[in-house]
Amino acid sequence: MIANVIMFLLIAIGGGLGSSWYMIERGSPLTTLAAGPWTAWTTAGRADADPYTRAHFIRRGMLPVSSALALTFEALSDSEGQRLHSSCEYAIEGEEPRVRFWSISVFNEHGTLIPNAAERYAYNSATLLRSPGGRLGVSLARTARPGNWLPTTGAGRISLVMTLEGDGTTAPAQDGWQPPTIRRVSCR
Amino acid sequence: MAAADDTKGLVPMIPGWLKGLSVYTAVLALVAAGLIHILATLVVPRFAKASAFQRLSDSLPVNRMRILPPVDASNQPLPYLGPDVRLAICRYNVADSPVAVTVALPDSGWTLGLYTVWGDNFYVLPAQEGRAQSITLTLIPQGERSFSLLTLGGRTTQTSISQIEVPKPTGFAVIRAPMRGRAFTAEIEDALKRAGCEVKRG
Repeated sequence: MIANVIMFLLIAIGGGLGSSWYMIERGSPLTTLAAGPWTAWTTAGRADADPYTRAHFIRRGMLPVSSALALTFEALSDSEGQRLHSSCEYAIEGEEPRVRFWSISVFNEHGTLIPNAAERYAYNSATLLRSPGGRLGVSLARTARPGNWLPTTGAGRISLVMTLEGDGTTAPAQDGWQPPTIRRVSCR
Repeated sequence: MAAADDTKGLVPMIPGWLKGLSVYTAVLALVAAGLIHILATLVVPRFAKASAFQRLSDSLPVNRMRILPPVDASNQPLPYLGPDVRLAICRYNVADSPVAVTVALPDSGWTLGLYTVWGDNFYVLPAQEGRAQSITLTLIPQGERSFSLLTLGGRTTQTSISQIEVPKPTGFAVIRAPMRGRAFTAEIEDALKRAGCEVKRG
């Protein structure tokens, strides 16, 4: 009898709260769009957003721009599934999105910009230095790297956010475009 | 005989800690888990201690437009807000009278978003080619629109179009400008300075 009560409470409370937390924090295929290590909440900032999406952004203290106008991807891990960490160096490589405006920013695990002497926190379609091949390439490292370098200093766990903006009236079209890969180069 | 063999094969798949649980209790527990899941998901927004509204409210005057300084590590008003955007925000309150929000959206990518205190973006106005660059929206409490039309006798259709019923009396009007580089700072600030937010008397 006691075992049954304990099991009931474990399943009801643990399962109920745990599944709610997971759906709010990480989302599911019903609420998010996944591409490699990147995840985007498909109804972010919209009046018809589902309860998980609403709770996700309110809990994080964000005012998301409507996903009807922009798509925001977040990556917490590299393309191999390892958690992004400032003790490692990463190469972000891929095809540049064919949108009117895009940006890529690095944050610590609390969503705070990482202080650094270069005062560099992001690149966007206007500030990125292009290679001759025209591909997107950004380095994520503690110390300076040639080209597009985003400093991570000693932030610990980090996250990357990439925002694509359409023409201002419609959501950015994907057209088969995939977010860039995040390759771990080395770790200390 | 075959059925008995199948059952035998299934028994080892049930974890030991679940063997003592009756089917009745298991079903009840799953139903309760579902209810708790729904309740927790719906309650989270109401009890979020660090919502955007709570983070920004103290620093924003009521019914005034304020241009936020450029975002950097020492000046980041909201989490996951990058330096590629400049914001001007009005914390509106239409409880006593309507509020007029005037906004200039000079370039593509600029938007005006209206948010509730819970962060719901219930209205968004993007810059569009051919649209007037300066727009005034009158924010009114829910249910007031019909009152206005009755009292005005429907004679100002244009005014009614620019009226927005807000679901709750308080919230944010947020102008978002894409920051394409430091060279554009002055130009963007000039456009943001043209934005306004004020109580509409009479």
